[in-house]
Formats: sequence, structure tokens, C-alpha cells
Amino acid sequence: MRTIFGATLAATLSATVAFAQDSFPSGPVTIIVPYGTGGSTDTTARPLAIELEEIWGQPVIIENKPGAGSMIGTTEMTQAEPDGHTLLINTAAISTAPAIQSDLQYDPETDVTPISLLITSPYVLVGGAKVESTDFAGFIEEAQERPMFMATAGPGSSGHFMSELVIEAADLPADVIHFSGGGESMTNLMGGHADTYISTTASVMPYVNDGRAKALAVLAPERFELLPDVPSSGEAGVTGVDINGWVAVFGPGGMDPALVEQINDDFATAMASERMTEQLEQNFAVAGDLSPAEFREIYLRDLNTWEDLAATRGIGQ
Amino acid sequence: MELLANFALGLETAVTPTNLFFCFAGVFLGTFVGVIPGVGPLAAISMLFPITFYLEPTAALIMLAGIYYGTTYGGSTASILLNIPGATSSAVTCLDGYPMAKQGRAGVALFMTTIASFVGGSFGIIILSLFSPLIAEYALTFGPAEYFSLMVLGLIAASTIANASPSKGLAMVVFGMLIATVGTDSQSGVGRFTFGSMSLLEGFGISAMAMGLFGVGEILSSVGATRDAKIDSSSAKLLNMLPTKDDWRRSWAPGLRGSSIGSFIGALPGTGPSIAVFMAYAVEKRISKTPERFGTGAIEGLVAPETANNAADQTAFIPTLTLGIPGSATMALMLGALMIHGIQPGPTLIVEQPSLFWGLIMSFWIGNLLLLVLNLPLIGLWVRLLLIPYHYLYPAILVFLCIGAYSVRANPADVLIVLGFGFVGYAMRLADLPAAPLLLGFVLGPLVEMQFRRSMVLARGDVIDVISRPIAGTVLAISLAILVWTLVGAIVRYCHGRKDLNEPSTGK
Amino acid sequence: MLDRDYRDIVSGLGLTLTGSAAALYALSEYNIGTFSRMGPGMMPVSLGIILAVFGLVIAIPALSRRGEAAQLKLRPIVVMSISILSFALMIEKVGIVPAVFFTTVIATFSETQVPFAKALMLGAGMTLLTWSIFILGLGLPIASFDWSF
Repeated sequence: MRTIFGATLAATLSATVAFAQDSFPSGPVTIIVPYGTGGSTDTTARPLAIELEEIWGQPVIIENKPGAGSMIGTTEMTQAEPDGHTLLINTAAISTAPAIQSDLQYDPETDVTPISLLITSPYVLVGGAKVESTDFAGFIEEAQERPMFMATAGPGSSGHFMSELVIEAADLPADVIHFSGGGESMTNLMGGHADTYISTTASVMPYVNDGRAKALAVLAPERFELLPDVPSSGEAGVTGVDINGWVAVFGPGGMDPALVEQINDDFATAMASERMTEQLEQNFAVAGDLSPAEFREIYLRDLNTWEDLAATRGIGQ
Repeated sequence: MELLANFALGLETAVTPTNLFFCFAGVFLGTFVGVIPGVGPLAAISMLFPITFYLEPTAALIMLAGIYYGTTYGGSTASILLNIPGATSSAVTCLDGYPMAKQGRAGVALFMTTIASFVGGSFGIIILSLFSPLIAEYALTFGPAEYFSLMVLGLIAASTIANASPSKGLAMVVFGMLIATVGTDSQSGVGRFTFGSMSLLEGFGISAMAMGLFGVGEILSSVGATRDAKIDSSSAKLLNMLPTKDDWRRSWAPGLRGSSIGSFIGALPGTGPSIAVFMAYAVEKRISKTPERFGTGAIEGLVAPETANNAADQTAFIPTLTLGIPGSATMALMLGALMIHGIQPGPTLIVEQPSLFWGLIMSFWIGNLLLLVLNLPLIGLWVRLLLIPYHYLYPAILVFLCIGAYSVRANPADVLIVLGFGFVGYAMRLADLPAAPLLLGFVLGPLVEMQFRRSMVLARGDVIDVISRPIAGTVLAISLAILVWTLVGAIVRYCHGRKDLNEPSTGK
Repeated sequence: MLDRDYRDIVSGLGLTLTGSAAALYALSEYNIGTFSRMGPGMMPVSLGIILAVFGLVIAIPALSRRGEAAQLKLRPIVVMSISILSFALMIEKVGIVPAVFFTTVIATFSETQVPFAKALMLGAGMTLLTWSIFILGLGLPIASFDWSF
């Protein structure tokens, strides 16, 4: 009698638990985008939200909370309940900004649960009007004769950190110059006022395709499959710059691992949709397919890399 | 002529029922949103942005653009009637627009503003149509050094826009520049005067600041004080809205000058209409033979900034469409709308998507025309708004200011900033310190610093290198000349004043 | 008329104080750098010093000049502050509807002309207006009612 009772109880309980997980989400989901409306992250998040609404059968609301290099929105996410109903979509800025942010109001390791790597693409180094070389090796030589100016979208941006990394790895006599955003950087490149700019494929390829900028290298050991004509930094013998740019989903610290897996799967399904695959293609980017645990490794690794770089190169002084 | 062929192509696109509808929807929405103080084009476009997913790219862009320049038409209404700017770039309209309203000429002011907006917008569109690719290329040659010199010119030329004593005006410009240093330093990433607050890392939003300074400050001053009857219902009649011959005579030259300045500055990537507006006003005041009339209801002081504003709005599309470089946050949204639909702005846009480009330009014409037709009859309505007792009006205004401030980035801290600057604005009114130069310093200060430091990086610390660049050097020389001329003029006036004191009066 | 222009004296000294405070703080906290390689501190320090000087330029002549007294109205300041503060506090905690209502009604207390009944009506009217414009019309992602407890 007791066994039957116990078994029924156990069955009911496990069914409830399974039901609870199956019934995620149990209400509207808020995705925080820590950038302004219409920016590249926003234009990725919004169609994704539409796909997710169909998968989850619940409203998925995008909240733009820009500011402080994505730190304002990220901080707000960390203060929400770790029940999966508040998520964050951010770029690699989430790993670079803490390196130079004093007064950080959350702990990047414990207050953040990396969930899903959505998009990944290598960083591309493009050259402006004044650069004569067409590949990385030539560029390095040219830089020895005429010290270069490497434009960035702002201090603490991923392009900034990558530029510093390149300067160190290739021992370039170059100076970093900060502009306000990728657009301004590219304008100055086209006008010949600065020489290089580093960013993800989505940001720079439109200019390369228009012939306004030269893709000098992808910063990776080997060529990027979607850009077979662009040499890699590895070919030119430069190592230590093999980091990719990414866009990913995060949740507050302390989320249930099973829930994280489920959300990761749902996002993967959404990314495989026609709408998103098309967008990926246009941006020369690749959908990520790592497990949450694997992505967490990358997240932590990047956090440390940037912190060390900030210390050695004196970034943020 | 190829241009006519392009116009024809554009008209074909712009005059479809769908696109016409969205054009109308955009300008209609824009006008009303523009009138509401605190809610500016950025807020309106951000709110409506998600809708564009479901629209075709051309329609979406036409509507967003309609909202954009539509809000500029409406923004001046609140400035003139209430001394509270409807949008940041309308702050200068308060200077002469509000005094005109107090003199019972609100209808005239609104009328001239509408006409000026149309003229400025049309001028900008002509420039846009004829010169887009050329201007885009030319704008590329402007590097940090050139921008630096331009911003210095702006600072020096515009530092005397207020009528107060020069030392007060200049002090406010410096104060504005100092306030602007709060936030993340653009060149080093260090947070200045942030005291550990994340919200301050972005600095004070100009919208929140302008609304606090001009909006709350104005309300705090007006409330509790005896208010003279502003208007009676007669000034709402059509006849009293029409400007006099004298008004027209005084306006056409400032209108042209304002349009030119606005078109030029608007076309530079990275500069917005706010700068154009200040420059236009400053130039008018300097050129005028009677500068003391500015600030007391001079129609030139109204027409020049208004034409500049609308011209800059139109030419701001040049770098956005042909280079993909947004000149302001609002333009960045437009770019975002384009990119969602897979359209990449750039030099090839005009060639690859001629129907989009020219369709958009023709819709600008149509939109400006619609706005003219829409706004003129509304003038009577707005003027009647003044008849509402102020003690019902100001709580409403206050609420709109709060909502507008909050909506920019969904941060309640911005509302507190409005309150804080409200105090500052009120204190400044008590102390007879002018607010417009503060705004000017706030806008131009960080640009001057940023571009100077960048020029220094590029010149590797050699100042002479910066000054000896052709464009930069010329503009800096002009700035120096203006500075010297102003100082000399001040000294001469001072000596004259002393001389008159020392000589016995001849009883003139 | 007062025997000295206290208004200008106070405002001038206020500016001097602000400028000096800013300059001193920046000097101690931020790297100034050199003229060629400016650090984050250079601008605030320079501007602070210039402002302090201007403050004196305004205040000193006022010592020997007659001036008007300034009329400070305390009630509107206090009431408006409470009104705006309540909006800032309420908008995210309880939503736009109560926030607008309370902000409007509180604001009317700055003056004595508005009877309480009319204030409530104005509050209701404003709430309806803003709700229809911003939530219904523009679809702002602000909660209308958001009782988080």
C-alpha cells in the first residue's frame, strides 16, 4: 500500500517537475538588449524574438537599455530572477567592458549565466584609403615604414582590444585612435585619416564589398570559410590574435542547468529558421553550436584575456 | 536631363497609395509628437521602429522620415507658445519666438515658422537631390582637425547669442562645457564625475537636460507668479496670423542664410541639427545692424534657426544614405530600419536602388508640402491652447516632460536629471544667467575636446601640424578674426562709454 | 533695491565655487596629461579654473553696484520636486497609469487656484490621454499597471 502510495507520489512529483520545465516559459519573456533601437544587436534580437514567440507561445518583449558599453543593460539583467523569464542578448562587449569598467556593479563570473552562443564570426582587419597593401603581410611591412593609426569604435570596444592585441602580437609601430562608433571609424578610414579598423564581418563587409575598404586579414589561424579570398593572420605568421567575435544569450547567475539547456535548444531552433539563416548569410556569420558549458568556457577565457591585456597595455588609464 | 528622369522615377514610387498613406501618417504623427514638450523625434521613432518590420522598406523609410522632419515642424510650436522646447533643436526658437508670443504675435510667429520650415526643408531637398554624391565625397575629407576647427568657430561665433552681459554669456558657455565632461571620456574610457553611478556613465542626455533647464525651469518661474494675460482670442483670427510686409522683408535673407548654414552643417556626418540652429542664430545676430533686437521678438531670430533646422534635417540624409554614417541617433535608427530590410546604404545605393533613393526624396517634397498644408490651419488651434488657464496646463506639461525623459532609454534616472536641471534652470533665471549659451557649450564642448585630442593623436602631438592643414587652418584663422573683432568691439564700446561719462552732457 | 547687487554676487561666487570644486576634484582624481597628449582630467581642470575666474568677474563689480533682490518661491519648488520624484519612483514600480495620475495631482498643489476636485479630474484626464497616446497609440513597452508585489 505504502509502496503504491510512494510510487504515485514520486510519479506525480516528477511529473510536476517535468511539467514545470515543459511549461517554460510560464509567462512573457523579456529580452534585454543593452544597445539602442536599430543597432546591429537590436536588429538581430527582434526577428529572433518573433521566432521565439512561435516556439514558446508567449509574448517575447525586447527592452532596450543602452548605456555604458552595454553594462547598464547587463547589470539590470543580473538583478532579475534566474527563472529564465529575463534574458540578455549581448556581443563580446560583455567580456571587454568589465576589463576597463571601474565600479562594476555585478560579478561577471557568478552573476551571469552564459546560455547560448548565437552568432560567431571572426574579426576582420580592414584598411582605409591610405593603406596600399592588399594583404596582412604587406600591411605589416608597410607599417614598419609608415607607422599606422588603428581606429576603434571607442575605448573598451572589442575592436579596441583586438587592435591592441594585434599591435602586441605583430609588434606593430601603431597608435590606437578612438572614434565614436563603427560608422565614424569607417568614415575616417575612407577619408584616409585613419588606417585600419577591426570589427566583426557584419560591420565591415558591406564596405569591403562596395570597394570602400580593403579586407586585409581575418584574425584567425586559417582562412574563414565564408570569406575564402581574405588571407588569415595565421598565414602571415601572426599568432595570438585568434579570438572570434560573437553574439550570445545570457541569464542571471544561478540558473538551473536543465533550464539553461532547454533555452539553448530553443534558441538554436530559432536561429535555424529561414529568417535568421538569411540574416546570417548577409552578414557572413555562422550560427554557434556550443553547449552552454562549452560557451561558458569561452566567456570566462575571453574575460581573462581582456583583463590581462588591459593590465599589460595600460588600457583604461 | 537625368535629374528630371530621376524625379519622374521617384514620383512614380512616392505617389503610390501605400507610400502616400505612410507619408501622411508619418508627418501627421510627427507634428503632434513634436508639439509635446519632452517627446522628441528620437523618442517617437524609437517607439514606432518595431512597426517597420512589417512594412516594405520604402514605405517604412518614408514614414520614419516623415516623423523625423515632421517633429521639427511641431517642435517650434511649444517653444513659441510656452517657452518650452518641443525638441532640443527648438530651444533656440524660444529666444525670439516666445517674446513674439508675449507681444500678441503668436500667430505670426507660428505662421512664419511653418513657412520657414517649408523653405528650409525645400532648400535642403534641392541640395540633397543635386549634390548628394559630391557632398558625401567632400565630407570624407573632413578629418578630426577640420571638425575641431569648425567646432571652435561655432563656439566663438555663437558665444554671444544671449543678450546678457558678455561675461555671463561666456561663463554659461564654459559652465555648459564643464557639465558635458560628466560621463565617460570618449578618448580614454575613464568615467569623469560619475561617482560610481552607472547611469551617469553616459553623461547627461541632452534631451533631459534641455527639458529640465528650459522646461521645468520655465514652469518653476511661471508658477506662483502673477501672469499677464498672454493673448486674447482675437489673435487666433486668421488676419492676425498673417505677417506684415515688414516681417516678410526682414525674413527672406535670414531664411536663405539659415537654409545654407543648415544644409552645410547637416550634411557633415556626425553633426546634428542642433549645431546648425545655434550657428544660424549667431550669424544672424552678428550680421544684423540691430543686434539688440534679438531676444526681444526679432523675426530674423525666428526664421534663421527654423530654416536651418529643417534644411539640416534633410541634408542629414546625405551621409546616412550615401555613406552609411548616421549624423545623429535618429539617423542611426533610419539606418537600422534600412538594414533590417537588407538594404546597405553606401555609395552604390543611388545606383543600385534608384527607386528607393529618389522615391524617398520625392516623398520629402510631398511630406513638406503636406506639413505646410496641415500646419497652417492648426495654428489657430495651437494659439487657442494658450487660452487654457496655466494652472491646468503646467501639470500636463510636467507629465509629458517626465515621460519624454524616461522614454529615451527607459531609465528613471533621466527623470531625476530633468528635476536636477530644473533646479539649475530656475536658479539661473533668478540670477539672470542665460540658458541658451549653456546648451551651446554643452553641445559643442565635448566635440571640441574630442576632435582636438584626436587631431593630436594623428599629428603625433604636433600642434603646428594641425593648424597648417588647409581647411582647418583657414577656419581657425576665421575664428581668431571673429574673436579679435568681438574683443575690439567690446573695448571700443567700453571706452566710448567712459568718454561719454567724462564729458559733460550736452542735453541731446 | 539693495545696496549691493547680491544676486550677481551670490551667483558669481556660486560659479566660482563650482568651478574650483570641479577643478580640484578632477586634479586629484584624473590624469591631466600634457597639452599634446591630454588626459581625461585636462578639460575639467581647465574649464573649472576658467569658470572660477568668470565667477569672480561677475561677482566683484557687483560689490559696488546696486541691484534687485531675487524672489524665491519655495512652495512650487518643493511641490514640483515631489511630483517629479514620484514619477521617477513610480514609473517602473507601479506603471505609467498611477505614475501619471499622482504626478499630475501632486503638481497642482504648487498653486492655490486649483480645487482638489478639479485636480483629480485633471489627473484622470491626463492619465487617459497619456495612456491612449503612448500605450495604445505608440505601443511603448511601459507597463500600464505593474504591481510587482
